[in-house]
Amino acid sequence: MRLLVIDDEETHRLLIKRALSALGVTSLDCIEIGKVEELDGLLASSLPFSVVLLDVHFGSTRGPTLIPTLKSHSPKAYIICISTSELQEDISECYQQKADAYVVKGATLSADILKAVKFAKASNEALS
Amino acid sequence: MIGETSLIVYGLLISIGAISLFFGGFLLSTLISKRNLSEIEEQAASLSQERDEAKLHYESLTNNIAAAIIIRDSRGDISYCSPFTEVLTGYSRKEIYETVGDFFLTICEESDRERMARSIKVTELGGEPFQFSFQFFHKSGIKMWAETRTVPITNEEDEVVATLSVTLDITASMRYQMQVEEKNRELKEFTSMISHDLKAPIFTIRGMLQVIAEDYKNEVPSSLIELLGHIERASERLEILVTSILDYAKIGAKEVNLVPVSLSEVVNEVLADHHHLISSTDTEIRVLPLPMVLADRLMLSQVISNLIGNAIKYRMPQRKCEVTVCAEEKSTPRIVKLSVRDNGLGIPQDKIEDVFRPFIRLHGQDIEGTGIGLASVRKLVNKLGGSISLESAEGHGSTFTVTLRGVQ
Repeated sequence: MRLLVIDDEETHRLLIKRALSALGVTSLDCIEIGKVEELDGLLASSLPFSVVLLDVHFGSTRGPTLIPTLKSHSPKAYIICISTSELQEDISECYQQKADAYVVKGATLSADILKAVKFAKASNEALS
Repeated sequence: MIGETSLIVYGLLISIGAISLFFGGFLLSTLISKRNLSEIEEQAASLSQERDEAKLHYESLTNNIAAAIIIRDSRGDISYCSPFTEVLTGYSRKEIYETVGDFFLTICEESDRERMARSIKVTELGGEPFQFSFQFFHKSGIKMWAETRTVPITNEEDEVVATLSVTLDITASMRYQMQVEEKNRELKEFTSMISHDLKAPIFTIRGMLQVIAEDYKNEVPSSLIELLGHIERASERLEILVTSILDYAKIGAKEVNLVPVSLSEVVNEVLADHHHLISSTDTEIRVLPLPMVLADRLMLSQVISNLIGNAIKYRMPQRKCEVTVCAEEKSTPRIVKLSVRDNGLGIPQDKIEDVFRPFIRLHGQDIEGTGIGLASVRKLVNKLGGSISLESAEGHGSTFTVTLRGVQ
């Protein structure tokens, strides 16, 4: 499983990766970026990803706007939008852009990410 | 002789009779004609009076109505213009009468001109009325808003012989609407800021505390663990507070879906949600028969949940907590007064209004809370078209009464 973590907050990336490590995802499987400028170069040089954890408020960029680019590069990728926001408009925007799940960063982050990633993993296994 | 005389007399009599009949008929017809004439004259006078009155009413109306009324004939020339048109536009009636074409078309905002011209054309040619809002410039240069309705005036052959436009000043309501939209935008930005910018650092603090607890628990001295505990609890309170502020701010933007709702069902659901709290505090809850109300089910549930939760939270430690939920129904107008009564701590008289203000906590830090609960309840009740009041006696308990719309 190849994962991509897109989040402008370094500490949040660290916490997300810790949650992923509980699933057995090693740092070798997981690539992270903190700036939108890094995305095009990364996608040009990378094989398709299985899972993308995408920050909704990615600096000055709206994370969901990147979903078409990500899907184009990794058509089978499971896109999980992730944010501290529980606002309906944020959630709706993600699903309108064809996100596969929405996870709220909070006290139960680990469990929620694991649930979403496990679902993605199961889906991938079922498809392959 | 007698016979001749008789004949003559008969003849005379017949002649007299005929003459009499003639004159009688003439007199009769003269009398009838005079009576008819008198009636016609009376009717004419009455009609004239009615016409004068109608004219007076019409002039009173058109001279005093706060609307610009303009009638244009089939050539497009203005044949009538109400006095208020001067007030609305700043132009004199002379200037308005001298306008070639539709007057408002000449002073409306550029972006509205094409749409207005098209609508006028449709009315003039096809006899279709139109109505829309547009912006125009007052003679002083101030930009204003108006709403106009133009209708065709047709003759017996259904031909458009004139058009009548009634234009109202809606500047105040449009400015108000724009202010509301601006406030909504600000609220959206505010909630977005809280949702992300305030919650993100809390997530970092709490996440990092968890990392320390998991990875460094054997290396951290006990004194530091205690300090970290303070940070953990403070960040937890901060998260609850931020979430409460967000929930409070979001109430204003919530859409209300008013449907008939069973108060009994909602109260029972709330009691089921509070089951653990009720049993752990040995609270006695009495629910009297409750009617149907017209409300948004989710909002109503939040209101009742908050009131029952508060009744238990602010209980008197020295006595058994008792909460009664009851309702009173009035038919005209159909309203329901829902009461939640407790025997808890109560609130001093001079603080009663304060409980509904956000971030006011009357019981200090002794009892957990954010100070948002009752402020949210009032906001929700207002959204439901109702009101909330409180009667309380310190040390004896409180009764919150929520007025809701009954079901017709």
